[in-house]
Amino acid sequence: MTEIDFLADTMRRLLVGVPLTIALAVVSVACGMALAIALAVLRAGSRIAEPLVRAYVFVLRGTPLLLQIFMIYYGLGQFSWVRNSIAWDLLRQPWWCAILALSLNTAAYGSEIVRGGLNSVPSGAVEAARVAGMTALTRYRRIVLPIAMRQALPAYGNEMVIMVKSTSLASIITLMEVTGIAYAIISETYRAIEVFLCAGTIYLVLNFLLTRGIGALERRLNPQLGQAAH
Amino acid sequence: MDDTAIAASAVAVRNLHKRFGDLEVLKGVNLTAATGEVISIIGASGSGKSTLLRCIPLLEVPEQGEVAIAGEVVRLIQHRGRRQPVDAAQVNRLRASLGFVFQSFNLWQHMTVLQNVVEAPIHVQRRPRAEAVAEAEALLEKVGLADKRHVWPAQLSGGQQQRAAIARALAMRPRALLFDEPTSALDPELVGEVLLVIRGLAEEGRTMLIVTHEMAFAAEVSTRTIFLHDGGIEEEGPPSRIFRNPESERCRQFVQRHLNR
Amino acid sequence: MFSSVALLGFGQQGWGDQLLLATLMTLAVSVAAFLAGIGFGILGAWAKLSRAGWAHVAADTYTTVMRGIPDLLVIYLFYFGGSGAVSTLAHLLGAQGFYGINPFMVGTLAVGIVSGAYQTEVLRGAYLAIPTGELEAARAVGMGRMLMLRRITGPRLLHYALPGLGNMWQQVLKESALISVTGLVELMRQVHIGAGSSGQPFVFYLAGFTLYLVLTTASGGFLRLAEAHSARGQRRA
Repeated sequence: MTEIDFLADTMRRLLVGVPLTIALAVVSVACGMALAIALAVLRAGSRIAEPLVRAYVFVLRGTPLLLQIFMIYYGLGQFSWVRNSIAWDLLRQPWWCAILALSLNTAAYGSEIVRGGLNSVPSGAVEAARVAGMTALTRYRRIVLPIAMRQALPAYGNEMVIMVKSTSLASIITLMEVTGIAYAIISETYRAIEVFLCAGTIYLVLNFLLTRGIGALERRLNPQLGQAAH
Repeated sequence: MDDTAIAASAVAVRNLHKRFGDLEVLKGVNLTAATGEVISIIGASGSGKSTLLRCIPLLEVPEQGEVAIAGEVVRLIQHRGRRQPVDAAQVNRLRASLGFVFQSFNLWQHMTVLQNVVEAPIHVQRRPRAEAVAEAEALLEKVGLADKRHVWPAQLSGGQQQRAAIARALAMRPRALLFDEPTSALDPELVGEVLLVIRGLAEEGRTMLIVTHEMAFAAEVSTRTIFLHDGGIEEEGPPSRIFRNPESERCRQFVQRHLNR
Repeated sequence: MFSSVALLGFGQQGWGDQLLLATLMTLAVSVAAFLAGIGFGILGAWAKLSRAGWAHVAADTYTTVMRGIPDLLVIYLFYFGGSGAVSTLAHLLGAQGFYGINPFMVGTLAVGIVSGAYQTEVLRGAYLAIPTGELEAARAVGMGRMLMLRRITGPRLLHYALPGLGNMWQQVLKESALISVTGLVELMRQVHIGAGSSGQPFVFYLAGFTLYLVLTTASGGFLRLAEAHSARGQRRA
């Protein structure tokens, strides 16, 4: 097989893993973001929850993601009550373990980013909402979160790129996404450089599209910035 | 200006040309400062006075012309489309024989006031530490900062920082002191304390070149005043004449506008 | 619970010695990778700040690629690619079979190169944060290149880079767990081995969490001290 043939063949095989990579990234970023917002709001709003959220963030940001994945995939099964619970149906499947670990992990980093966004909301805007008679919930939904998320978007974009990269760890618990397939091809052929080029290109394209998308979203959410630039 | 005049001078520049991109800032300036002279350089912003001063220690390299310090001409060469010094060691040696005071002080923020003052004497001029420290303490006393010698620059007012910067320049035992708008970055109430220190230095008979917007001060301390306009020397002479009876109409207007303020 | 204490304890029955040794290995490989990262970061920042156009393009490509692809892939590249190269060389010399190269070296290089891409940005930003006036003042007193680097640029660069480098260190410490895929017995690998052979995976992974937290917290505290030391005098009193 010529070099070109091998590259084309490798690319074809790797592309099969792209939907799984994207699914892992999309689902865990979505779940993680919902959790991140909840954690940030809890931390800002509740004196009881604050130390708990802080401990959560401390543990998840202080340990490797791979260890977190292993803990969920292998560790929880040590206990018979876990194995006998309804959750076991999910917890013994690598897909759900990967989603759970990735979501919990990105939620910890994301909650810090959202917290920064919340802190940047000008107190005047909140006061104006209060004077307008909004309830606390409406205030959060209509005023505080929209401002905070706009502020947090660039940093959250970086976190999403990191998450796309992190989905590769799912291959270690047998999921055949792009990196998993790459590993399989390398161990068959020992042609690491060619496979790396193909797989690397796929991730670069994915992340390029992602950053473009986030940039477009930023411009749409902040039309005033777009005009100021002209 | 001939070579013997340069040899006898503290600082001299000849036919200085400097441009930034399309903008020609200096268009052939000649200036010789004899030892003991106090020269004030005035002119509108953009007239090239700061650039002229910065060319002397080669902080800017002129495209044309020569710079001499204590009679020694800095050797420059055209290299890869840019004019630059032939010998970096020569430039550094000559720089170390000058004292430069910046508009924005430029104290090294990671060193205390005393450390700022002794830094170059010890590490550039390689003088013994004990001697450098003793001299630095005397200089800080002189500029009124003896009690601030172990303080960080960020904890000082602008006026105090500029006085520390003057002590740092004096610590070089300079042949000439160059001041680049030393009070322009200061709050009005802090200008006086810095001018007082500079005035004291002028009275000691030191060689000084001062770029300034403080006309009354310039008239009072300098032995010669240079009015720069559009990259060239429009008029020069004793301050008594420049400030009271200038020949050039432009100079007269400029001086009037600034003295009345 | 008592059995897990014995399991993680020291002595013949326990895994304590191995876990301690593995923690030291994680520390060692992280330090090596971090230092390699600083090396790559200095090269990258220098290239991005230089006037040469080709250097910019090279450095931009380096940071874009390394920040856009999974670290695991880079580790595979170095592990299998490096071993492949060594094996080819061995076959040329008449030997047979597959030759793996030192996993410690592979891990150091792979994690170091990835970290270097992030450190490039940290160091470049730190250099640009140094007030130009302070560098000009150093030139004006006649400091040469090396003296200026040692006395002014270096310390100022470190001051502005320290917070970012601290984050990089924490990141390297966690990324080093990926080196376990090469078979290097660092903390992640040791915990995984213990989990597999003892039948008590939860206990071992929990021990792993604890030890990583000890590492990140202790070095975090140390970094804060260093930052406080470097920040003294930088803010108005």
